[in-house]
Amino acid sequence: MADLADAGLLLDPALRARLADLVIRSRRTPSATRLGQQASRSRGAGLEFAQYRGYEPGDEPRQIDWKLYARSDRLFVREAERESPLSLWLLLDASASMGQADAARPGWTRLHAARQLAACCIELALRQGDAFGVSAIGDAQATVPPAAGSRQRDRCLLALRDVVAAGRWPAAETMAPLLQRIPADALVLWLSDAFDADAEAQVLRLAQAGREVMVVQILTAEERDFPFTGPHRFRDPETGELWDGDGASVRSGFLARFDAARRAQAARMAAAGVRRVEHFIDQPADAPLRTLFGASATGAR
Amino acid sequence: MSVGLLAPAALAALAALLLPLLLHLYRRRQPPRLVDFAALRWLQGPQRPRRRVELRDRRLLATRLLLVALGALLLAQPEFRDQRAGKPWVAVSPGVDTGALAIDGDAEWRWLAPGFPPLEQTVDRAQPLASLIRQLDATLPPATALSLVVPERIDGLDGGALVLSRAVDWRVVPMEHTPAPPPGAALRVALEIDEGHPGKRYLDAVVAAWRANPGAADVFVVELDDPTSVPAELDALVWLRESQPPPALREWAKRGGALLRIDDAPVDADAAVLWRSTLGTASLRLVDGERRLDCGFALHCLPELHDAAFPALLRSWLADTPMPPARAFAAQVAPTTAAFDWTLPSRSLDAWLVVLIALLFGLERWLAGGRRP
Repeated sequence: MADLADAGLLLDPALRARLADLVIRSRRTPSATRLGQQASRSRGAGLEFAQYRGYEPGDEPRQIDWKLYARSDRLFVREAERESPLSLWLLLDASASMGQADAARPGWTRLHAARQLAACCIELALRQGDAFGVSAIGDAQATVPPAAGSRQRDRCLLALRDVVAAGRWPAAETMAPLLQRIPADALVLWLSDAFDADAEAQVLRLAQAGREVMVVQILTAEERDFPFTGPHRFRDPETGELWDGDGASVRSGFLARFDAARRAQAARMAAAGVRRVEHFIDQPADAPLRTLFGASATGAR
Repeated sequence: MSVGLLAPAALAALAALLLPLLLHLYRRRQPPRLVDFAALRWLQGPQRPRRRVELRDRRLLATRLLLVALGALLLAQPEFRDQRAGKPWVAVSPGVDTGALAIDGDAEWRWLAPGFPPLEQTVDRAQPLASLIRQLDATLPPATALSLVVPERIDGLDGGALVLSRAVDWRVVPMEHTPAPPPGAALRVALEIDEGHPGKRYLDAVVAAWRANPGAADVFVVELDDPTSVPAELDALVWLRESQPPPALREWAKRGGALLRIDDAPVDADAAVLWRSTLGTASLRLVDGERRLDCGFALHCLPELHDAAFPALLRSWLADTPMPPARAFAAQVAPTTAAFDWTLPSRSLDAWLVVLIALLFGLERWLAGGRRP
């Protein structure tokens, strides 16, 4: 169990307690809710036991209850219970850039934070009785197809434990077979730094092909603060490119450009209907999950 | 109060100041720290690291430069010369009645004796005054005023004139005492002469000359009743006999008595020479404490016998030390002033400098701690 803890896969009790009020919810169809344990009959138009929830951008207009709108002048959407299985597909970036850690905490890399997030999501899905699967993509590809249950959780955790951050995200042709395996109604959670433009394009195409995609962009504290002073030699772990410079003199320029690039990426993802949240590895793991799955989650980016 | 350097040429070691400067400049060229950075593509700007001296390095560099400079200063041996004027000094010659002096607290009153003790102590009357006066002039700071209180007739002078580096107040007080007799006066001489010795007439003539001028010679001729025992007050003895002196006299000579033997016994040629004749034919040598003239009182080897100053010469053979011109009238030997540059005694600052260097070294190590070499 020590190696699981070292990999960030063991959740400490405080974190587990904070996950208590999070619920993985897909908004692909209003009819997709917590499932697996509650059987219900399918509903069509004229629902009787529907529950209403407020309109969220991205909901299909035919789900809006226009009678209620006429009465209250506010948009509501009917949410009916239907047994539709939710399968959560965790797509983990295991390229070399995920092996980067902060100087302040050298043993905690992006991959560790991604694994911790994956373990949290697995815990949530397990509690809800949903199916979940894991794919770690890098030099090697490791996939555990979705299933439900605690044994599935153990399989996933062990697979995650053995992941090593190396190599680059494969090209579209290589990734095509895996991406096509993802079911149409699955909820895909991409855990990555999202620096690779090719990887981002593939994920956006996934969203355009009809799957619901959420992205947690995992960044280091150094990328947020750029605390380097004095001469440094920077190395890209994936391309090996080197860059020599003085930390203090390039800081403001880097922060400006990096911020612009992230905002541009956020715009692209919003245009494709992909929900995105940033996570810095010196922050607790429940912060991005709360943004995505918390009670106040409205789907805003 | 001034600080000087004993070895200023050692300041050439300041050239070593270049070393820390070079070290700190060279440090800039070392390869910078390597950082894995995936967001590299958004890093732009001048690739060359800016040559900017960090403040931390500056402090360390300043400490190291100061350390090297202080090391060079230590090699140059700094000293601290106390040249403050201080109280004026009044030095009193021993033998002057201090009751008659107006001793006030404004000046420093001391005896003219070794160590310059205060007037409360008692000191010997016979002191080498001239030497002490010069010593006082050399050790006092140049700005200190000096007064000397001396009796009308002073002893303890030497052959040199009193020339000092400052103007002194030469106070001559009336003399109320008799000064101590200078050493070498009133020589007590005994004569042991064979009646038939050929040199007897010369010795008789010398004794007659001594008796005729008592002031010049100051010699008392005593009769020796018993040649085997030596009276205590005897200073010198002239042995003009054929036989050897008795053992008691030879013991006395070894102990320091002046025994003058004039005989024909051979003298060791390696013995120390006390006097040599101008023609080189006769010499007075010291053998076993005895003063042996290797030539008898004969004219062919000792032509000085017919010299008018022969009595004084014989007296000098008997005396222990020549009389220096130690006594004079004080008014006549008042010191004069000449420009001297005494090297004043100084206090070495080495100890302070070593402590300062040790502290700075600790500071340098603390500043340099945790940094890459």
